[in-house]
Amino acid sequence: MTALDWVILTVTLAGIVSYGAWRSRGVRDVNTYVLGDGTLRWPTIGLSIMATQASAITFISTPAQGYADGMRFVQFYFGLPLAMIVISAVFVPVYYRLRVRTAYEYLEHRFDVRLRFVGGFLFLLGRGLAAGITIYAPSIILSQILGWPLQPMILAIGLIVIVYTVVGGTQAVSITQKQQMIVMMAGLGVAAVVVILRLPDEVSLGDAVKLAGALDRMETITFDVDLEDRYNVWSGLIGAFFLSLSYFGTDQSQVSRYLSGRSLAESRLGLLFNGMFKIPMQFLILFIGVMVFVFYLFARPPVHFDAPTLAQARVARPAEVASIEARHDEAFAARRDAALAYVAARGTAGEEAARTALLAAARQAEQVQGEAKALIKAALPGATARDTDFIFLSFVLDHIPIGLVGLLLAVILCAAMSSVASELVALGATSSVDFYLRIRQALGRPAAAPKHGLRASQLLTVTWGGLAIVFASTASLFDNLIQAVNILGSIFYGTILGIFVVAFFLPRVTGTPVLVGAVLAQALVVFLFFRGGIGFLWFNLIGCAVVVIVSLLVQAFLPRPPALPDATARVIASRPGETRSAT
Amino acid sequence: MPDDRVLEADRGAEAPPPFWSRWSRIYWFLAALLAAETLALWLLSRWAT
Repeated sequence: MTALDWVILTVTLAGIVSYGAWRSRGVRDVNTYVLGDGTLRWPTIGLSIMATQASAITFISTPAQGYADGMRFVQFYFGLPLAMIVISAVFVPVYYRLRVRTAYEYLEHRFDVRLRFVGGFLFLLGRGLAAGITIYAPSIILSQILGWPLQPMILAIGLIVIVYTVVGGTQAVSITQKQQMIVMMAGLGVAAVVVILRLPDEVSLGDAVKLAGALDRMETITFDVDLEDRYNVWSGLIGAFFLSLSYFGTDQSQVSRYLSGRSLAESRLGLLFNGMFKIPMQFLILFIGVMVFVFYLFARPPVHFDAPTLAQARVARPAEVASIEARHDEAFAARRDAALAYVAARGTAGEEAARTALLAAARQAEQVQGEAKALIKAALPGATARDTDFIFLSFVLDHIPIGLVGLLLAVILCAAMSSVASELVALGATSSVDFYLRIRQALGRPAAAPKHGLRASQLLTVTWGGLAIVFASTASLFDNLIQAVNILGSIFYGTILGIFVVAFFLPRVTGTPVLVGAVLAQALVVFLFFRGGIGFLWFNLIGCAVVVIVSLLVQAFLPRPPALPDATARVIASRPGETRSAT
Repeated sequence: MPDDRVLEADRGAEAPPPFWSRWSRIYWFLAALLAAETLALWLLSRWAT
């Protein structure tokens, strides 16, 4: 890192955070803390939704996924636009009409307070754990690769986010996320251009894509039906549809993004904006990873991308590491020559033979890298031999021009802060609105003063931030960070979604059957998770389906309930002084 | 506090609105965009592999 990189990194981060905190000063009560002042337009909402989902892990692990596994991960997002349509058409109008502040508040209106607590609890459990990973993931990787100390880094990310989140609430989060997303998109564009410009002169973009295709990195669409295959069209369309429906429709960290809009129309447009640009954005990130893979066909990659771990292995087993590195050099040279031969042979009769030779050379290079991992495992029993999460940062530090390194590190830290901020404000809001204030009301205590509700929300946000920092400080590296977050989400999302699906689409089902269904569904999903054998995306579908089916079955055995007086007026009367437009 | 019973009168507020509204066109556009993206990615796969 040069001084220029440090200046760009510091100015970008400090500027965005200060601007967000300044623009959102003057939070008055719990409602403005949770939902802002209701003035946000659709571009801010859309960018804020995207920034909430795009954590640092997205920019570290997704290019690595492209590098190691190719483009097929993009299918994971195919269900997202369809989920945006359903949420815009069904969920958001109801949230607006009932003027709820959290998604779980709706469950009490529709069923009873038990379901509100269940929904809120599942959210707090899943999101509370995920917030720790969201801080930990970039910290561990940046600290290892840059030599920055881990604990101060976790503390720094956590504390900065806590400060501006507590000061400005949802409004600060949305405003900073808009700027952060702009930095992220600019950084991505720069990375894409740089990696393509760094290819050898004789390799065009078309050649690079064909090379990636020859080495199985461009298998973007898979129609095969395979429950164990995590990424194909069907798991993407069906499993990811349910995951997206649950995440965007019922997870408070996303619900508060669009409920802070100026009107229903602005909220809908923000969601549809996300549906429109998510797949192209993920395609670009994966494509950058694939192009980094092609780049390393011509520039010698390290035998292991986790440089600090490799250095330790070099100390522990110097002769063996030197021997593997010598073989790695040979394998790289052979693969580079084979890649150049393939490019030269394109469109000629010798293309197939050149491709076969390239595949053989690539296999040889992968075998040497596999041996390096095995050696690291043997030499350093406690160390992780997996290096994919280090690939993109290694490329940035070794091959990106001065100044742009600072920008790309700013992208990663912006992404970390944006998603953590949404999570913390949502965790604080749910703990306060759905538990603390609601339990106070149930105990017959007088209504909390606006300042009291605000202070409680802020204090709970700080508490969740502290817990996330503690969790991040003690967590160990998961096999793959982005998958860890998605798996964690999928364990809880199916059940939460099932509760909401019954609430929206099965008007005759009451609270008790849904509660039974939710408990059984969650137990089944946890059992299936530990048993293994099913791709995690299917947990969303299974959890949701079990809640719906069990609710219908149990309801069938219950007597039909009598009608009660108009509750709509009661619901609206319970939230006085709000003037949200539902146009 | 709402209790464990279905409220007929609630349905106006708590039930979703008709799916096909004046927003239908933009929904169809988004679905068509997804289909176009899938087709484009499939063609890219076919060309590149």
